[in-house]
Amino acid sequence: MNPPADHPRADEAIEWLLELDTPERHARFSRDLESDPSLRRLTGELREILALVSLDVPQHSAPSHLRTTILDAATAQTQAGGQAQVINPPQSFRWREPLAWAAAAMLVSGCIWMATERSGLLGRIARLEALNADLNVQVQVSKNAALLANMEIGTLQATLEEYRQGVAVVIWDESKQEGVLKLEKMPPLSAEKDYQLWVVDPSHANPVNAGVVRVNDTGFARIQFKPDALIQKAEKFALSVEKHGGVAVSEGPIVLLSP
Amino acid sequence: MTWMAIHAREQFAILDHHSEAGSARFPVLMTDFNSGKELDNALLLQVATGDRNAFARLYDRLSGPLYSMALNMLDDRQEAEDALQEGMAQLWVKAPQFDPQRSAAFTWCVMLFRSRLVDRLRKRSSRKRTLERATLSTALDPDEPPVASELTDLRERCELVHRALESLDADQSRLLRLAFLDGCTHNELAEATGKPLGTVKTIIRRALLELRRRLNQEDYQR
Repeated sequence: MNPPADHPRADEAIEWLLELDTPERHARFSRDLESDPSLRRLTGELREILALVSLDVPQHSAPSHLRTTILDAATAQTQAGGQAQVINPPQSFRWREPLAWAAAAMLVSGCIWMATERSGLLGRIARLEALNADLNVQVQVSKNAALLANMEIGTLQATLEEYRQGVAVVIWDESKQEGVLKLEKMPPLSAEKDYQLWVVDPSHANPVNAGVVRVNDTGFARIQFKPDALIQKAEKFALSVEKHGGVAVSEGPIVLLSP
Repeated sequence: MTWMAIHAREQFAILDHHSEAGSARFPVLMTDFNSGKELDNALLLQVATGDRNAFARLYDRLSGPLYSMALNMLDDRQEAEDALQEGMAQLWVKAPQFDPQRSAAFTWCVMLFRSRLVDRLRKRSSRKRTLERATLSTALDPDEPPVASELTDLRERCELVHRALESLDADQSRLLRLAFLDGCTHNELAEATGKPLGTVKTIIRRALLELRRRLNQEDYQR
């Protein structure tokens, strides 16, 4: 195995780990990591070494009065990822019931309401994760497995600082080749620009256009979308800023991206 | 069920018969695992299943190093406390995404936590001042004096890392510390040191390689 410094992408890996790259390059490197085992190995090695540098500071104990507060506040959150994966298998799903759309819409609305409630109490917790966590809670509580087990529900995460407040939820039905995107708190764009949704599918050379999204004054939008081409596997969803009316091939910066 | 949940369940099956009362749930953990690294991995996998007791144990192990990193990077006690609270909540929420085949738990936690600290640094208007402080010295003089970690394995790790970093070329250790602990960009480092951008990148890359080699010599992996 090449030592880290000999790897042709070592500098890129370091920039990615230190978050020194641009959002576009960061997203591209993240994608490459998924498909390149040697790059994953390199990045993993470098990550281990970098993390150790954190120990090279004077060591202090965390203030003891914080312990209970922190543990209580943290564990009041619902964990993301694991449980959602149980309920939402990554494979394609069969979405035949129109009721599923209604349930999904109710879920999303409920989640946003809950996220708003939570933000008052736990303002320091990232809004996106709160929404994601609440979504998991809602999914679990409803337990209407016949409707929900086949849904793919995902959140998009900001790749640029100024979009960090934005909240985006995508619900995708591969069998129908359509989905719903809901945006909240997105920064307004100038009249010459529009948000545009893309679906990343390995079977297409470029991300597939899923339509222009226009938000209102509060940064809110809810659209039903249908990609321009057949999607075999929706690996990721991305939201970019493009010129007014949208473009055929993405040119602008990606501002939100699904993990 | 995800493979991680299955893995965690298998790994902790042995623990299920223990008392549910607080940290007493893990009376044998410290002796069952060969190193702090394995213990951290096991605890984080258990946290991923929603185990609050394991989270409390992990907090007791990692809050010191994480808080110390926050104090060093932010140079503000109140903000470091806020960052610790935010960071621990992040660890809890994201624990199910931890993959022990990709990184050690300590590494995963540190990198997740650092990312939040860097966000805070980059939001500051006094970024320039921070950079100047970092350029002059990495030492910190908080109100509370440093303490030796009560965790033997952690204390040994700190000493090993410090010794390895000190043994690097002065430029290598300085730039690596500034890049990681102060969130300085390559451009900022080039400007602060007067070195070309490419040279800065090369120094940091070689510093990492050399640090890796020296830590391996020190048998860090035990």
